[in-house]
Amino acid sequence: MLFNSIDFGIFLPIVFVIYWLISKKNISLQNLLLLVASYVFYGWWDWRFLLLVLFSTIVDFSIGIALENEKKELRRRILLWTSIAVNLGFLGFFKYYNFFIENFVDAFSFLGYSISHRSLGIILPVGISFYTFQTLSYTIDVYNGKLKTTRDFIAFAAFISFFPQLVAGPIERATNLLPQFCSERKFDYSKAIDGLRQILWGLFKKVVIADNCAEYANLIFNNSSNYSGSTLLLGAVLFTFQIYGDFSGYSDIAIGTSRLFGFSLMKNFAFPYFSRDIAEFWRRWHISLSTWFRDYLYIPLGGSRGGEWMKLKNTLIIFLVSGFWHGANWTFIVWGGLNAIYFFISSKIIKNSRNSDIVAKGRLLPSTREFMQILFTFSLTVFAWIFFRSDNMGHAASILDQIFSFSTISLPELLPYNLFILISILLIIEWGGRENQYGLEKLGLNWNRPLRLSFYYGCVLVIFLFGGKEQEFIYFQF
Amino acid sequence: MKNFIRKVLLFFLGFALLNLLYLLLIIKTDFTFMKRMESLNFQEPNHDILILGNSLGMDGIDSDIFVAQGYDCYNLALGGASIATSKQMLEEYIDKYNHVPRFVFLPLGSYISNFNDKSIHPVVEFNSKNHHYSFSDLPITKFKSSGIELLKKIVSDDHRNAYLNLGQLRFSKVRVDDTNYNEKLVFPLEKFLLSNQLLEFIKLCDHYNIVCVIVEMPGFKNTRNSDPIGPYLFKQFRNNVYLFNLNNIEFPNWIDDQKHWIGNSHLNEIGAREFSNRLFDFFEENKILNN
Repeated sequence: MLFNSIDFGIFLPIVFVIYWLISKKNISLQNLLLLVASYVFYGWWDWRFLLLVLFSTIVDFSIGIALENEKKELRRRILLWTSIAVNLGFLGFFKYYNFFIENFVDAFSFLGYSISHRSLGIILPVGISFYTFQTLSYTIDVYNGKLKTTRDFIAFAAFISFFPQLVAGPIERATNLLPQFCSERKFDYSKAIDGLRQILWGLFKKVVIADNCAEYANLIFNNSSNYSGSTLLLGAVLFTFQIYGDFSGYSDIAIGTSRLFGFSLMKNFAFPYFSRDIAEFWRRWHISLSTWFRDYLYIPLGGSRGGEWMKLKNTLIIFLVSGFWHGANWTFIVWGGLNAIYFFISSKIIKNSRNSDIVAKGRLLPSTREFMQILFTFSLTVFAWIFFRSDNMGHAASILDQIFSFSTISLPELLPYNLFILISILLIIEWGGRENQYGLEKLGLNWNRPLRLSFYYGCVLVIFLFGGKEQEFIYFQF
Repeated sequence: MKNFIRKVLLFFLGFALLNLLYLLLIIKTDFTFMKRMESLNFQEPNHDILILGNSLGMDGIDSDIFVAQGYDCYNLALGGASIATSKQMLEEYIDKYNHVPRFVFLPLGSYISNFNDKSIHPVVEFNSKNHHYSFSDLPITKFKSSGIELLKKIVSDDHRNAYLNLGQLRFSKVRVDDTNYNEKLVFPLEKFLLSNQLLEFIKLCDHYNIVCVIVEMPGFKNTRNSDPIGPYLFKQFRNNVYLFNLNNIEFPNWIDDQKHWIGNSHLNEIGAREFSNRLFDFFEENKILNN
């Protein structure tokens, strides 16, 4: 079920009303309702893969209890690795089986051996990368003693499959979300209204920005050989806004929806395209994944302890794994590697001035220096997204070949002025709201009621009138 | 909680009213809607010629030229209409008025349209007899393009001054064709011959013994091909079906690049009058209207 579909528009109010009116103050009943609703939400796409979600849930629930009862370190470690093996095994099979087989065969062909193979027509279960990481966080935290084992299966299953964030995050930590399933949720009027505003802003980013950008970006990338360097560059910029609108829009809708049910999810995006350096960009982009890798991979690998070489090695691993997490294609790995290189160079240059605060805080506009830094960082990300969006390395190379030719010094063949206006609106609102949780959070709160209502209706009208052709969320494929 | 639900319901009620208001506004101001309403309320029509198709025909064929020659003619074409829509409209017309036109013109642009699009134009669908209404019929979603046309009317004199005449949408706006010929272009005949939607349309005409004239409309210079005008034949329908390639390099040589266009391959009022005059002469030469 897509957030921007009529199905979801009917599903959400029904679940909401039953949740608060019928199962009021009964946590178990509320959790059961959320579990059923989440399975309906997921099964709407393909009910067969519900078994996979259920199996992962049972495995980690059982391992959690076993970990609590087990005192011997070796056995505890075996339990932990069983959970990791089962979860990553599923992920590896569904997502990476064909990739590994094909590369294995290619490597042998390169050495002069011929191996016959058959690729399997595997369907990638939606959201498998997201819920796998979420369930792993539980087992690892229980193993490390950061979290108490839960014995409430319904609460645990609802935590794993919580429909607002099941298929595309934010990837929640068990330490943050699971306790919320075990405690009483109270309806908070202001939080619910705020949730609706965040959903509205998420829909704008997804339907108006991402879906419109997608039409042009797809046209340009799918017919890249027909276009000049300047058009291809425009395509890359539009894809940059598409992926941001798509993914951060989804996160906003997920967070807003969760608030309606009394849950607080972690922030997933913090205005990343206003970053002044690449390290800041990675603190602001897909925060739930970056921090997951930091906590469960980078730090266990040794982090920056052990000097520069160790830090360099571990950072490279994180970025490569992060690239590979996005998909079984060399383009994603190169994208990750490229970001690792950016990260190193950036951390060397700006060693003493870490951009950890909000850009131009308290000011209307950035300084010239800040503006140039933002522009430079944005250009680096646009360049990296070319690899991310390309079908394969050859495709990326041909696009870059055109972009770095004289054909870039010309007007693009396509100039979607309407879209430029819509992107400008996005940037203005996000810039104005960059000190808040999301762009629209405080906008119009102090206005009088008729004006505020007109503003909301205006937003709804813009979403309906200027919404692009319905596209699936990009991150569903991850 | 109750306060929240009450406010949300009020907001949705407001949204429903907004939709109603939008629908009323569109019905009163949108050319497509106005034209659709007109065509559903003819008083005992006796048309000899019906023009169907999309915006190329809606803007580009002037019914007056045929009326002046003694043919009762109406332009039913709608901007953005698929061939499937044209078929539905023709069926509806025959069914509703119990009258069969002698000729049907179907102006198309292979360079701009998808001939296998099965979707029905939202305005036609909304007013169809057997249509089952659902959430997808919310006017703000369904008539998006009408809303954008309304915005154009608000900001542009050219759009405000446009008007309908016997179904033709007349624009006086001028846009220069600054494109160049591409001599390699060929007439994509297969696109016509293999289009299921087009075959269905022809079948309907054949069933009622209507002369069906399919015309590849003249477009901007960069769309014109070097192939003959035709007529090209549909083997399945030996009689009463003509396909003419009027977008070859020679036929539209009367077009003034500076004066005759309103936009991308769409003729303005003057261009449409010129084209319709030449179309009539061309039909006379080829004895199409003698059938």
